[in-house]
Amino acid sequence: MIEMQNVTKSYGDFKAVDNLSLHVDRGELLVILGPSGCGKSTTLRLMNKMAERTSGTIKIKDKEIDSFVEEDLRKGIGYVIQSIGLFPHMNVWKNIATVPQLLGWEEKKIDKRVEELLLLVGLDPEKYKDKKPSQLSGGEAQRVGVARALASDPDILLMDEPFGAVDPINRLRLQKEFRQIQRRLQKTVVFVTHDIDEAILLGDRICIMNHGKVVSLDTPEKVVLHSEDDFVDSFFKGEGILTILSRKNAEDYMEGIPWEGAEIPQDATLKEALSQMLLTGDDRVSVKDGSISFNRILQVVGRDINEKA
Amino acid sequence: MRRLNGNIFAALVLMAALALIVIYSREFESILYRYFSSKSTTGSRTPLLVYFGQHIWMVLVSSVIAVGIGVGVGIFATTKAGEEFREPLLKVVNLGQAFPSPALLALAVPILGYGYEGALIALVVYALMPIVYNVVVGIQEVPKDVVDAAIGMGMTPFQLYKKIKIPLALNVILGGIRTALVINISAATLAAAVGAGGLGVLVVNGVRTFDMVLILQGAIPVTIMAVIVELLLKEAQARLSF
Repeated sequence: MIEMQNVTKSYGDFKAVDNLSLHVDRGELLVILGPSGCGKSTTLRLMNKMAERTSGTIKIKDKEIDSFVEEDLRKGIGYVIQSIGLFPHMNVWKNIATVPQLLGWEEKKIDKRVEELLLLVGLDPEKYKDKKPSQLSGGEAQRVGVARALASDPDILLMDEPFGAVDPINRLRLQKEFRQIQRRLQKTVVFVTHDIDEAILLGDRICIMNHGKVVSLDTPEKVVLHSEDDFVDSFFKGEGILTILSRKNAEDYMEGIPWEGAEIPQDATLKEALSQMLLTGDDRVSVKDGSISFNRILQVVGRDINEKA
Repeated sequence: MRRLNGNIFAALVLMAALALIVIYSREFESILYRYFSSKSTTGSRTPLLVYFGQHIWMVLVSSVIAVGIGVGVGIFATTKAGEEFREPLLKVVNLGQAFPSPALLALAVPILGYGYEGALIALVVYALMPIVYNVVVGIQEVPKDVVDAAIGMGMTPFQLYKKIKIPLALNVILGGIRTALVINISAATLAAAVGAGGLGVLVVNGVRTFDMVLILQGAIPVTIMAVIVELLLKEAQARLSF
């Protein structure tokens, strides 16, 4: 879907992106992870021509990026940035309708689409469509930002630290919801973040960048558990395994053994199950009508390691 | 809502007062005579209405030209093509605003000649400065992330100005136009000194002859006009900007 080959972006002598090659498959969520200034945002902006590459080739949907009219290319790619950039003088409806209007859709079709999208991101259309951005909370604004990026049903979504400005509690909820949405819609997503937990939670693959180069590019399990790179190791500080557990739903590994002790919510992850065990001191917690044990978690971790080794 | 209507109400009252002064100029004059001393003899002067008409016409023409040029130049300076002009332009208009308006009018005479045209051009130049300044600054102050999002969504440069930059800068732009017009109404008084007519004729003659009545006959309508314009544009600003 997206292919970059030996792409370099220089600002004078400084190479923000240095001879970078990567590809993103259809329906895949690729997370680009790295410290500030590593070139991750620039890499993203090269994909919709918000930044012009200095050398190398970029292909979008198997077509050379220069063969697109810039504006048409961008209309076909959803773009979400950290500060969201909602248009403050337009209400929620108009914000979401921006790209459909640029594409000349009929009013009726836009109306239907806006309603659909607001429901998708969990906002009541009647309550929200007439609100101005200044009347929204940070989390609500971010939902509208995602809805706006999805408005014309683009195949590709570029997201630059989209949940970075949201408080931690809402962030986790947004991340979980977004993962659901992405799985349902099968969009090709490139997601830039410096938040390790977010990267591991969301990514099908993670691309770790430093100094404009790709340091590591693989599935979260492999990147975290089998890194051969000191920079990557220092990034995860040995705690990555806990975050890997947050990718797994406890319910999926449930054993049919009823348990009378502490209970975790149905949508809890293995990380939450483990935390609960540490809290209660028991080596088993109850999920739904079954339970999950500490040994079971060890087994899952072991299998992940074996599977990817 | 009450505050908005207040502006319009005050403007309407002042317009009525202004109309009364212009229509019943003789009566207005006699009221002034009661409180202020005067050496002039009545009857031989041009009616107030004529000066008033000249004044409004001069302000109107110079303002329309200034708004047209000012908005155009200002927008150009914010585009990529106009980038290199931006900083020098801002410096010039900033300094220009500090340049005394009588001096500017006086300079116009030797260059452009005595009379209406010279005064008009001087007024346009003077009104241009706050307009250009506010257009440039207003557009530059549109949040970068909003512009970034708009470009990222595929807006063309034209759509970006039409849908995002100008609507968001409108408050500041209208503020500049408001300043320009109010300055223009009072600066047009000085145009009389270069022979362009207007209510300034009364003021200038009054100053020359130490005639309080004459000065006030010119100055009061000018002041009321300026306040009306101020109120109306303030209202427009409140309604048009988001």
